[in-house]
Amino acid sequence: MQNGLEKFIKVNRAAFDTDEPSDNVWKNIEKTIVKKEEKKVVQFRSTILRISSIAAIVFLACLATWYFTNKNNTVAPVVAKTNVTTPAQPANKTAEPIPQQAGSDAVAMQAPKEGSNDETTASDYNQEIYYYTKLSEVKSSELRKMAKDQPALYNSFAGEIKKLDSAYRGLQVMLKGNADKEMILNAMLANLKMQTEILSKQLYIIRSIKQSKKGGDENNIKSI
Amino acid sequence: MELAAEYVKDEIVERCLQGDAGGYTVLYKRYATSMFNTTLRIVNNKKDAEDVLQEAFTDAFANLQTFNFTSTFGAWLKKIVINKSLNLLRKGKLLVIDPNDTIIEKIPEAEMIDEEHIHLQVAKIKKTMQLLNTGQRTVLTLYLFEGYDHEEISEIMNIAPVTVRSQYMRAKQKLLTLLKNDNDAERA
Repeated sequence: MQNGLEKFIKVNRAAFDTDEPSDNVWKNIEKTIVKKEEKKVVQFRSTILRISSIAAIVFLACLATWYFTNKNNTVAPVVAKTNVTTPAQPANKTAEPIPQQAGSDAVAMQAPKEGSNDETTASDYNQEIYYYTKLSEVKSSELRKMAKDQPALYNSFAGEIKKLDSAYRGLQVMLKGNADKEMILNAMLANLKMQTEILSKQLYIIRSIKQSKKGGDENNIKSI
Repeated sequence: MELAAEYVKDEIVERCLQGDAGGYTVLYKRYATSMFNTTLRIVNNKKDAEDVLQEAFTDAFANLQTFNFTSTFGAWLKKIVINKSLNLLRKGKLLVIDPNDTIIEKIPEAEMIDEEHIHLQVAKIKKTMQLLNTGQRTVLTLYLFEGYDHEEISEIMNIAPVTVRSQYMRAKQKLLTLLKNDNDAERA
């Protein structure tokens, strides 16, 4: 049972906290935050810059190919006029059909040997794109499961993948046009590979943080 | 216990983790005064209390990614502040507690102080607490002001629970005696 002193302090607890620290305390703390933030921003910017520049290069390369293909239609008639059919599609991406050499124009204009090579190539692309799309799906869903532990980090990671995904969709649109299909498929593959690589790194980071946090807040105080 | 630990959501901490420098200002403003008074009651001088406060906030912010939301940020920070305050006292060899102090003396009835008849005032209690020795003042602070129980204090201070109890009894008795003397002097 609480007696006079204990009860008095409990009731008047807030009235005891009357002393204030000098402004210098915050100024000194702030200096360390500014330093930390600057370092973080440089790192963050360089990551974003790296990803954006790769995406931009892939996009520009496709654009240039499309331009030259249209300008000199005769350069790659087989690929340029290829008809489009629907192969196995990535499940989570509204992927546009990937070309196969099944169109009548293509058949008419190419030698059988070349045709079979092209068919193999298109089928290889299909398989590879399907494989990386599935891989990226698995990793994405694993990352989503960890979102609860690191919501802020997950949002930032998801943003990075979203940018690459939107570049992927841009390529899908281009694939519909008269651009060099092979070049665009290469770019799509590069994009998917990059997405899975980034997802792997993101998963590794989240797992490392989770591991370091095992033991709860109480346990890390002693090391601070 | 850890498995049952719940996620304590703190939007300001999350803002800081996302790189929003404004979040740190909010956290400092929210906790600076209470943390400063906590350390001041333990280290007993303003200069040292400011050093502890600065170091505690700097380290807490630098290690924010290790805070895993199983307690409130305030509770986490307070433990850091208290640990740093105790380390400072230990460094200056100011926190000397006899580990053999396990005797909880029965105070003779004649010496028992009737708490109900002491006129208690915040300012007087604050001033009188500064006169207690470091060990007694720390135990009293952690128990009466910070709300830790004897077991928790024993863990924080790394002394036996029975020593905590005995130190608390002595500290409280001494504080009440000093307050009573002050009351009597005023009445005279």
